Amino acid sequence: MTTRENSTAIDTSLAISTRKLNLWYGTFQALFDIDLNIKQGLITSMIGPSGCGKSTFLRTVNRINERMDYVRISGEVDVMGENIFGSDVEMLQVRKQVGMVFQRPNPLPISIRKNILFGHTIHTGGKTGKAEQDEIVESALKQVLLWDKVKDKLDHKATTLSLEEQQKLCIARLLPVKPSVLLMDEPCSALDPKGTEAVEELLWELRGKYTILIVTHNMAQARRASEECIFMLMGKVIEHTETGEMFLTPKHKETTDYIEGRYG
Amino acid sequence: MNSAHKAGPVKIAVRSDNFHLWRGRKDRLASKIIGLGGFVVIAAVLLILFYLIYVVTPLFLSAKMSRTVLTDNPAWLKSETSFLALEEQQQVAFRITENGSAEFFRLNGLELLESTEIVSGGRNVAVAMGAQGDSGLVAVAFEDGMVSLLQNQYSTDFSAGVELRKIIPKLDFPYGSGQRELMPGGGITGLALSDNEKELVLAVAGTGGRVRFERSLKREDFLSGEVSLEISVSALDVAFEIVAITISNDHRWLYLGDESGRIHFISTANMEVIQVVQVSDTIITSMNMLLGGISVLAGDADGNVTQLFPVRGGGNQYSLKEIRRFEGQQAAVTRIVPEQRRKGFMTVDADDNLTIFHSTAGKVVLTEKLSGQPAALALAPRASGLLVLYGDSPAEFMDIDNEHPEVSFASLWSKVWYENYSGPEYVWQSSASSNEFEPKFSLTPLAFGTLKAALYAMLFALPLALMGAAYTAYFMSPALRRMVKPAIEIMAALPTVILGFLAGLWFAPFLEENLAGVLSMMLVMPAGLLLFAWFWTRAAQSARNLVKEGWEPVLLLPVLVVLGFVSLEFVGPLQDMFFKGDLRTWLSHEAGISYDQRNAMVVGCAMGFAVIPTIFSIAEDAIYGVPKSLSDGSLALGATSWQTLVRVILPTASPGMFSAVMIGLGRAVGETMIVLMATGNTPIMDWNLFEGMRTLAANIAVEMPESAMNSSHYRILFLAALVLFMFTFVVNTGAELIRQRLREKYSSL
Amino acid sequence: MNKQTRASSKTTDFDRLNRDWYIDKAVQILVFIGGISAIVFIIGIFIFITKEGMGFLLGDFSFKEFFLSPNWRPTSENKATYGILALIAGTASVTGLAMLVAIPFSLGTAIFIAEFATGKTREFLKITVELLAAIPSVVWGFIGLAIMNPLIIDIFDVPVGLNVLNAGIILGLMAAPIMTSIAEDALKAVPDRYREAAEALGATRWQVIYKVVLPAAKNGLLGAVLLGVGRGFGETMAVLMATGHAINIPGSVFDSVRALTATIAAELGETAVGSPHYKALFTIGISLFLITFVINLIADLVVRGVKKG
Repeated sequence: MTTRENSTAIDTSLAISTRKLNLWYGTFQALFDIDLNIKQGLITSMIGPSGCGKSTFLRTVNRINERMDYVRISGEVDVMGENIFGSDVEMLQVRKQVGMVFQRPNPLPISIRKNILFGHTIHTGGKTGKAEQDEIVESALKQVLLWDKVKDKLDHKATTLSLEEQQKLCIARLLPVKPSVLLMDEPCSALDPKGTEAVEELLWELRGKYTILIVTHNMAQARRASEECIFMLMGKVIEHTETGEMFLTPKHKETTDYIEGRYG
Repeated sequence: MNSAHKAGPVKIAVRSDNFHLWRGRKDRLASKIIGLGGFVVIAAVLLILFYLIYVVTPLFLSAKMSRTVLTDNPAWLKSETSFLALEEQQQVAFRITENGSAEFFRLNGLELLESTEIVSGGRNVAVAMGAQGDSGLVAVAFEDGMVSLLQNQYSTDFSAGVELRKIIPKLDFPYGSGQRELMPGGGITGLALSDNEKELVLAVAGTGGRVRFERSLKREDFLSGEVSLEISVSALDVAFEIVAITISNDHRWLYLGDESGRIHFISTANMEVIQVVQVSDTIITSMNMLLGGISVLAGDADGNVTQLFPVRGGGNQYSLKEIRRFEGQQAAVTRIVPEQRRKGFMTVDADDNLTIFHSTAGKVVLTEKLSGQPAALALAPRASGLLVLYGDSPAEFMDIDNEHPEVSFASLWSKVWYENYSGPEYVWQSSASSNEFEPKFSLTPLAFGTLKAALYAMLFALPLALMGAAYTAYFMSPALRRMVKPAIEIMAALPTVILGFLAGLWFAPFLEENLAGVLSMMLVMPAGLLLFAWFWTRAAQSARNLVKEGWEPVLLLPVLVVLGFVSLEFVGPLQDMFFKGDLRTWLSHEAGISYDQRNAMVVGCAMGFAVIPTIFSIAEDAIYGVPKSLSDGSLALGATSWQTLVRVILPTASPGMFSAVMIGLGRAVGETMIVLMATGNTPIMDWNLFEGMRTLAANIAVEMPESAMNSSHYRILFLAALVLFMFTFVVNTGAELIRQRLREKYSSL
Repeated sequence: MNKQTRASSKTTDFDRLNRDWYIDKAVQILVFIGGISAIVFIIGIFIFITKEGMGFLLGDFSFKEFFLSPNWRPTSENKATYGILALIAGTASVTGLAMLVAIPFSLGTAIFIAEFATGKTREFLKITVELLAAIPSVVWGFIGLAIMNPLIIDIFDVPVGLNVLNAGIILGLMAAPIMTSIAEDALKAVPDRYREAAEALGATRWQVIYKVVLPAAKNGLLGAVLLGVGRGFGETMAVLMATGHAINIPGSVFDSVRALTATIAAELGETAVGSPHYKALFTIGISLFLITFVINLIADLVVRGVKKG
């Protein structure tokens, strides 16, 4: 596809690259020497049983793990070629680059319009005029295929939307900030099949322009919705290959066991 | 490393533009300002706490003494001193020399101001003794057995301004300059005098066990205003050598000390020895009366001091009881000097040690080694200074800082045997009109009262509030709950003033009138309602369908009112049958339970009302907050609603409920208004439901405006406030800690 | 034989059900008694007070005069007047100042405790707030009397230190702890996921609080403020001691005033039962009750987030 070729042509650097990443929650080690290279513009999924560290990894990339005092991190993580732990890097800037969608849709308890503009406002100081704001809102909502549904109720509270719409909204509000990476932590687990289908469709639309890393518990989803797949177990990366290849010819026994449902 | 704005992925900006830097700074600044808000609160609390502690601390500081050596003894001071006194401002002193001169001198520079011969020609003085209190009256007994009475008076000359005021001494003879022959033949060894409005009393002890007692009744001529004396003399001869002699201030008792360590307790009415008390194994070396003339202080050769006073027993018989012993001296007690305005005293022993004691507190305040055995001592009226004459060595003046001697941990919290009481008691009685009053500062009755009020209030409030909360949160229909919950919370808005007033002026008399009725209401209502409920279940289904599910309470309202009315009105016959017509009189006369109109039951109900809304609110929220899933799970297992409530819901809600109870308790302890208006404020220590109490809070409110600033009373009131403060704090914090623990134990969310 | 067994087992089950069911109902009743008696008593008290005061409102004088006249002279020999405007002004001014003092402090502390402080600091702060709440109102009154009084006279060079300023500061400090508590609860109740979302979008800590947490908690915060106001209106002891005793509408914070509660407390003991003065005081009591009730009710509704319109 054109977008993909374009991205590989412009820049061969990786979206996310980690070296010897370790993480401790207090005395419990959650990540062991993670070395991962996630390519730009692709949808990469992360699968693995509960507690294997996928969400932890995700939350390390936008540094939101550090909200808790007892988290300790060692190793390097580069996003778009910049070390996010560098001493001259502002955490807030990292978050501008890396957007996150959570398991449970969490639109802010304000209007749809204000939700979309929230990220934008805090990063630009509210200097944008109304016309430009309207444009931003429309564009973001169109990208998530929500515009038609909500264009007449932009001032309604975001919490009045259905769950699937809320989740789309949560994706939409990341867009005005122009991130390069979208991190998704089981974004469909709270949605019904129709909602899940809608969101997966959306992700497919967004790829190329954005790098998407999606953590999922649902192997079928990984299989149908991602281009590359990472399998993690007990805090370690076991395998990272093209999705089709992983499910047909997994290289490690653990992967095989997991895929065949021997443990969940 | 600039952020290039490309169409696709963008690099992370480093060292971003000013806006973002400023954003970060604003963030930090905001945190600091908010932190400031928090710290101001801390500062306020700490300041208040420190202020309270600052006011209270002097109570427990030790007394201090500093000495100044005066100029060398001038010539006139070489003669021996028989009596020494100091005036109020500690500028002028008075002494009587051994050869019968009364002298005034200025302390500054030891300047002699005037000298008068008491008896012209000079006479040798045997003993001289001052009267208690501020009168300045002195009796001088000469070696020939004659006694003179004189008075040292002082006036202040402000003509040069307040700073340069001059003290002008005056020698007076209020009972005439003549002499009385009290002990013919001389040989006076001891002298005691006491003067009051009605009579003047003099007692002398002589060698060979002779005692002479002279009583001069004062008769005032209504027309001329002249006072004439009606003198009567009694004599007593005892078989021992009298070492010391004192008289009580009411002139009823005479005390004689002997060489075998005994005190003889004599009634002055008939000069009969009522009792002999053995206070020591050795000689009684010194004896004196404490301020007020009720307690006798006897010091012996071993350095012990014993305090005794007469206690009334059955049949109006008095006996002399040993109240307390003071051990502070090692050597024989050579002098006992009572304070002029407080219940403290000083002793000097044979080893030149000066010790200051306080009788009520039962403690040693201070010990100081003097520069030698004093020839004469005078304590200033305010007990803040001491003049010591040493014979040949230069005289010294001691500054005494002893502001709060009556306070000790024991005097605040344990039973103390106060003067005129038949035994040790816990008493709070902070002041009376005269100096001679013994201040009784036991905080125990107040603390007890606080607990009593709070506990009865909780006894009344807890069942109602918690049961109400459980019912409202768990069983009540949501629509009814929406009405009931705010209704109870309105109660919180009721000013406690009104509650207190209602309790004191309406409920208290009502309760007294209808005691039996009210008590029966508490039995009749639950029983009646249960009975009604039973009938209800038996009633036809059609009747029951009239009432919506969950709305039964509304039906029971009128039933409740009727039951209440019934129990009040128809309790008459019951009372006649069991309680001779009136429960209240039966209680006090037959059962021996005293009944005070404004009692604990009244306060308990009133305060209960004040705290019910608080407890209800918090408990109800807690119970309501228990997730329905827990309840569903239990019911699905086949448990009844009651079992579910008790075994599942309430334990889960226990942190909140516990919190509610504790906060209610904290409020009850600090409540002032209601207690003030609904009790008689009697500081008693009795759990009797039908008697009143006095609480710490109410006490502070009542007494603070009237206490002298920085006096012991004032500081003790602050101490009471501190105690109250600490108690509430401990309850609140303890509640919080236990709540956390309970939350961990029962957390299900 | 089958029939018999079935019948017997049926009886056993039924008996057991009956007994438990009775206990259940009995307990329900008991619990209900507890709850309902409380309500009955309040209504009773309210009726009583109204009866006492009503005679006054209906009989002796006019509604207008009562609420709008600043002349409260119940013991005047010529013509006793019962205007409570000055008293209302007294209570309002003191409470108003108290809120000015309390709101910033309690809000600041609540935000600090809920959003910034961790572990030991949090515990310490919470304990300190508890300490403040534990001070009995009598002690506060005395602080106003003995400390603030001379302090105000010194610092501001005014003749009297028992005034609106004195009582306002004291009342503010008294109301602050409970306001802090409730505000903190309100802030804590804002679900963490909102904070997470905002932070993930790149908001600074302060922006998260200012733009997300505070707006989300505004109901609870408003409730806290109203509760503080309610407390201010109803406080008797401290206000009695710290406001001085001048019955007038305050022109400045340095004027002495008299509050509604203090008036009742001071005068109720000395009036003859049933006299117009007595009834007037009860009417004040009702008015206070109603005002505080309305405030508390609004606070309640607001805290629950009842939407308007």
